[in-house]
Amino acid sequence: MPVPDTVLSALPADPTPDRGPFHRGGPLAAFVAISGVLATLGAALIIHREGASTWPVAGVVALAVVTAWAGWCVLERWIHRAGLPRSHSVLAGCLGFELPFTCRDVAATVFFDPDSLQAGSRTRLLCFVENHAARQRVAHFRIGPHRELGLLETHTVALRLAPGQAAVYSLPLAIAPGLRDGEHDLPVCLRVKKPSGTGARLAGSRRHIFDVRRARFAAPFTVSRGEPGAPLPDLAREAGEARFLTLASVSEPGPRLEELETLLASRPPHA
Amino acid sequence: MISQELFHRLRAAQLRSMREQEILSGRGWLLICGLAHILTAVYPLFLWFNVWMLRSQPLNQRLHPGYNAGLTLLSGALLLGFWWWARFAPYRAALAAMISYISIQGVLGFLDPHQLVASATIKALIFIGLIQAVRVGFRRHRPA
Repeated sequence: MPVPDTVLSALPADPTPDRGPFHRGGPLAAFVAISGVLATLGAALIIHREGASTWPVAGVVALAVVTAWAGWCVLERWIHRAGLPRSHSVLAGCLGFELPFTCRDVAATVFFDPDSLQAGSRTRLLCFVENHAARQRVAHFRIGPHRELGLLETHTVALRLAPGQAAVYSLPLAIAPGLRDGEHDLPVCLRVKKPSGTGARLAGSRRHIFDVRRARFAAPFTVSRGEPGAPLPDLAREAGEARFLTLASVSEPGPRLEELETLLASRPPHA
Repeated sequence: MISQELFHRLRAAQLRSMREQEILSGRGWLLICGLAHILTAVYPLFLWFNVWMLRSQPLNQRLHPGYNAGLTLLSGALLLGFWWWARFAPYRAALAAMISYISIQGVLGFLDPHQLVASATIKALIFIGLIQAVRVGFRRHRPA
C-alpha cells in the first residue's frame, strides 16, 4: 500500500496523550505467563533430578525469558489498571452503527452520503473511525481507484487518532454523467499502524471477536437516470476539499456531534 | 446530539454498507484452508513414520499412510498455490480450489473410505471455508 507523506490530524485537535501500558498484557499474555511458569518449573526440576547438560538448560533459559516477558506485560497492565479514560463509544453507541470487527482496536465504517443519487451529481464518502485503545493509532485508508467517481488513481490518506478519539473523514466525490444506472461500489482498504505501542483497550468500548490487521470495505451507491456517452470532467477537482473532523475526545465530557450535523446538514458542494 | 432524521439516514447508509462487508477476503479463506489442510497431515505423517521407522503394522487402513500423507500434503500445497493465484483471479482461483479439493477427497475416499469418516469434521470446515472463498470471489467478480 502506498503510504502518504503526511499524517492528517482531525480538527479540532485532540490533545489526549498516550496513557497506560505499552503492551496489551491481555488474556494471551496471561496464558503464556501461567503455562510458561509451570513448564519452566517442571523442566527445571527434571534437569535438577536427571543432571544438567547444555541444550536442555538453554531451552529452560529461553522458556524462562519468554515467561518473564509475558509476566512483565501482565504486571505492566496491572500497574496501570487505574487512571485510564473511558471511551465515549460514539460509533456503536451514539450513532448506532453495526460494526462486526475492529482493525487493531480501531472501529471503522465507510459509506456514501447520499448513497442513492443521479449521474452527474455530487456525493461524499464518509470514513468513520474510533480508536478504542489507550495509545494513538494511524489509520491508512486506500480509496479506489474508481474512474467514474473521479478517482483515476488510488487515493491514500493517513489519519492520526489520539487515544479514544472518534473522527470522520469526509471526501467529496462527483458521479460521472456517463455512469450507467444500477448498483456500484467503491473499494476501500484500511490498515492501522501502532506508532507508540499496543496499549490497553479502553473501558466502555465494545469488544469484538475479530481484531484484524487489514479491513476491506465496498462502499455501495446506487445511480439512477444516467446519461450515457457524456464526457468525463475533472471530477476530483470539482468536488471540493476533504475534511477530517473530531467527533469525540476522551479529554472532553461528551461527544461533539454538532460538527457532524453541520457537516452533513449541507448537501455536498455544487450538488 | 444529532437530529433524528440525520441519525436514521446515517444508520440506513451504514447498514447497507455493512452488508457488503466481508471480514476475510476470498484469498484469506484460501490461505486458512491451505494451512488447516497441511495441519491435518500431521497424523498421517506420524502414522507413516511409525510404520517406516518402527516397522509396526498399519492401523487397519487400506491406504498406506505414506500415500495418505502425500495426498493430504499435496492437497494443502495445491490450496496454497490457488491462494497465490487468487492475487490475479480471485473467483476463478477459489472455484478451481473447491473443484480440486472435492476431486482429491473423492479419490481419497475411493481408495480408503475410512479417511472420509476419520477427519470428517475438519474436512467439512475446510469445505465451508472454500464455499466462503467462492462466495466472496463471486460477489467481487460479478459486474457492478
